Amino acid sequence: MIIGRAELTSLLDETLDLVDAPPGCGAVLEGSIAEGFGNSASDIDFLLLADDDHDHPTMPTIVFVRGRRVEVRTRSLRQVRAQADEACAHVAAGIGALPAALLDRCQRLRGAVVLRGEDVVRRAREWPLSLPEVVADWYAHHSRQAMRHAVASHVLGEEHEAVAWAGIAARNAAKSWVAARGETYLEPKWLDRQFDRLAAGGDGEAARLRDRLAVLRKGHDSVGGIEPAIAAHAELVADFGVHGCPADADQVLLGLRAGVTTWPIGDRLHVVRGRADVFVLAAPAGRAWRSIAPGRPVAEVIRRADDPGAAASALAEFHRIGLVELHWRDGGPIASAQPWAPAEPVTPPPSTRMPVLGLAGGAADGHVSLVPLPARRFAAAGMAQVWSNIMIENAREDLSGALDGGQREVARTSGLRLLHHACRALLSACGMSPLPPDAAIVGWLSALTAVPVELAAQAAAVERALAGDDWTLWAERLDKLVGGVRDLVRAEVFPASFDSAAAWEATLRIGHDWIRLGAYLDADFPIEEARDLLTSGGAQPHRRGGG
Amino acid sequence: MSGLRVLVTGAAGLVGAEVAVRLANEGHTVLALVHTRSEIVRNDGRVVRTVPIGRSGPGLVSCVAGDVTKPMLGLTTERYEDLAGGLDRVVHAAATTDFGRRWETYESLNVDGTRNVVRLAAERSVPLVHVSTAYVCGERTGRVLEDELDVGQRFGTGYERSKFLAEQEVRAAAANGLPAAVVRPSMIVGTQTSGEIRDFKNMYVVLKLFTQGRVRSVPGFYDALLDLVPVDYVAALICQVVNRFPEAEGRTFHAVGASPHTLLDVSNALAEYPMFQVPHYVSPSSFDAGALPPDERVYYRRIIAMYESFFRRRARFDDTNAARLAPWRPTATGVEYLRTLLDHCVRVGYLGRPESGIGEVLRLAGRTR
Repeated sequence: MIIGRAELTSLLDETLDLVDAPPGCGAVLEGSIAEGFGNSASDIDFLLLADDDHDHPTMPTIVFVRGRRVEVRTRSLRQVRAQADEACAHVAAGIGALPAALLDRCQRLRGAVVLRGEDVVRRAREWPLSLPEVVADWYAHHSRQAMRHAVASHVLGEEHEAVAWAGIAARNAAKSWVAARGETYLEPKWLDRQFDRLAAGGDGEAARLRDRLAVLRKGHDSVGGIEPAIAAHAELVADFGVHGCPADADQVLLGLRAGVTTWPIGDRLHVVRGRADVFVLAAPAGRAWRSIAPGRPVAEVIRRADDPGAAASALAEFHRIGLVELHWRDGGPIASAQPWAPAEPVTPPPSTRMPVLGLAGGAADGHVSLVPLPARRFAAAGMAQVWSNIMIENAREDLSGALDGGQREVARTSGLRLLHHACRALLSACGMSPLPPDAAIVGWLSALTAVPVELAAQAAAVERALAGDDWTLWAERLDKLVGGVRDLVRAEVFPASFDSAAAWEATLRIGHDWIRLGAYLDADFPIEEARDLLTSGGAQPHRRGGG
Repeated sequence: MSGLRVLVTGAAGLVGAEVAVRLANEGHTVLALVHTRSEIVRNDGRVVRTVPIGRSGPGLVSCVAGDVTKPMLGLTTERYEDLAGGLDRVVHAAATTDFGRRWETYESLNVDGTRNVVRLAAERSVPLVHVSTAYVCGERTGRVLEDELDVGQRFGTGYERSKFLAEQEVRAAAANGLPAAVVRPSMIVGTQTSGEIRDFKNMYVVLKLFTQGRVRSVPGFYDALLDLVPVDYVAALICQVVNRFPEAEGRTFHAVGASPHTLLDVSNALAEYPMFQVPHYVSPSSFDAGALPPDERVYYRRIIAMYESFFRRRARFDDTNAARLAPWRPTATGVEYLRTLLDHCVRVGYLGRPESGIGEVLRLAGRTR
């Protein structure tokens, strides 16, 4: 140890003068210094063991003694036994789920230097398992997963990630190997020192494996490129005794991820994750998505794709953001294997596009974009937009009829309805849901930065015109406003128009797509009549022949 | 109970095979009447070992080639008497369950066939367990009770009507003293835990067309109800009716799922598979098959139209009698059970793999027999 026992005892005494210690407690030094590592910057970690069943706080007390930072934790015997029991339960259920922090606490206690209360400490350390075996198995699990991840990343063409994962796999395998030989301290940074200690003890294999690991650490150029590097890492991992992860691309299979569902809107695919997040896929990514079948080798799917590079990169993205799983043949899902890192898939920042959605849903930048709305609101806004566009057509017909018949007040009412639905279409495209009431809706346009100033001004001018008596220009002004609204939405996301029966039918089909999604998410329908209309197979209100 | 001598008609069929084997495994002597298929294959694909009828005995299955559409089941008088003599039970599972056949086929197989089997049982007062269908209720909506049969319902398919008439034959014979019980399965699908199914027929064919995107819209409602029942439960219930016939006599048993699935459930379950296409449900009142694209129209008219009424039905089957007698009850429900069924289809390559065209799909639908 870098600090002598006498000095440690003295440090403990001084520390106990500064903190409240349970009477009669045992005391140990744990952590890097106790394990025979450490340096001048290392903390002094004291653990006090109280012979009681209290719940002592997890947070350490930090004091400074003789210029050193000292962390003091207190645990009751009940607490350390509960930790040991929990760790045993994890080991029995599958060591992969054993949390790093829990295993670390168990290991540190058992690798600690006893400073006082030997009997309490002995009772605290009672454990039915072999610590070297548990730590070795635990690191082997994480090494295997990391190596599989490396092979999978390589198949997906993510070479940088592949090499990084292979490195993690090799280091975890090395930690497993040294743990099996008694070097159980979990902290990864002391791996070289652990090898050195084994080598100094006469273990020639330790020195050879340490040197091979050092060569691989120099990077893939040192072994002739990415593929040889992956193979060399896999070989070293196996030599460390971790099996089940050869550098074999055919072992990597596609798997479905629970809670992920697919929703085409028009020709565009949307993928909902956990009923909460909506991702929109660009066309090539959509094709890659459609090629996903559980149990098929990733390499085969990529090989058969029209554009293998694009398919690989899209599949990699799907995996990163948790839309799809990768499985190892007969080996279950390939999970994130960094013990101290979160295992959850990442979530990209949301799209900043405006409008947020068009009739065909969101729009993708790159392979996949996260829609900046919760899924239910996205579905509700989409349905509101389809409904508003249908009602614009309906109101426009009523307006024409009224104008033809010289019915000014009927025309005014129809014109206002048209104006309000145009505003609703615009606001729902901006992601607004629920929408404001008609009485306030025109005013909302100018209050939102998402709405172009000229369009808001145009709507306000139309509203003023509809309040006046010069009805000759109402239709023209409303048509211009609707054109502006649809241009804004269409310019980003929807290339079709409402000018033909075919386009109208396409709009209704898209309406059905929105309803499927809305029904799945139990989203708010604009009004119940919207549900009826959109499920009526194309029957347009007030129009014979359905469209 | 053991040691019964049981005749199972339709023993090569999905339900008949499973019932025959289970009864034999329980120690009964099973005489398995088969028509064109001489092999009995269990739901999990295992071929059942059979023995010649001369060596039949407890725990064994013996195959007898016959034809229920013919008098004396198409057997010689001597064979017929041999077969019928000493029977303790008859399980009548022979039927065509295919949709879209000519009425003459239904009448011959399902109605005349039942009449012939009823005659055999009635002549010797052998207890008869008749396998019907829950869909003898036709297009009824709401709660359907087990003791109801003729309530003036309209039938969506010739299959249902033929099974209705067959049940009437059984009821008429029962009124004249034949000890009889009726088991009415709903739509038989894969086992509860694994989804395994021997034959991908009926709704499975529809699923194939849906998921391949060959049919993109169907007339139906999101809240229409499909009752799916695991094949293992159906077989278990029929065996129980055989074993506990004195309790079952005179009763009808709905062999139905834990709870019906809505078409919304189906839509949501299909959405979990990236490679699947999913159709829209369009209000039947405004659905126009003539407006479908030409390819889709062909699939619609030749296959989907046969099943169309199922996409708008809202029947709920009461199964009080079955609940009292069944050895176990289905518990799998909702999207989770659909996922089990779909996973099996994907695992064995039935779904997620394109067929060459309508000919292959029709073959799967059993239309080219």
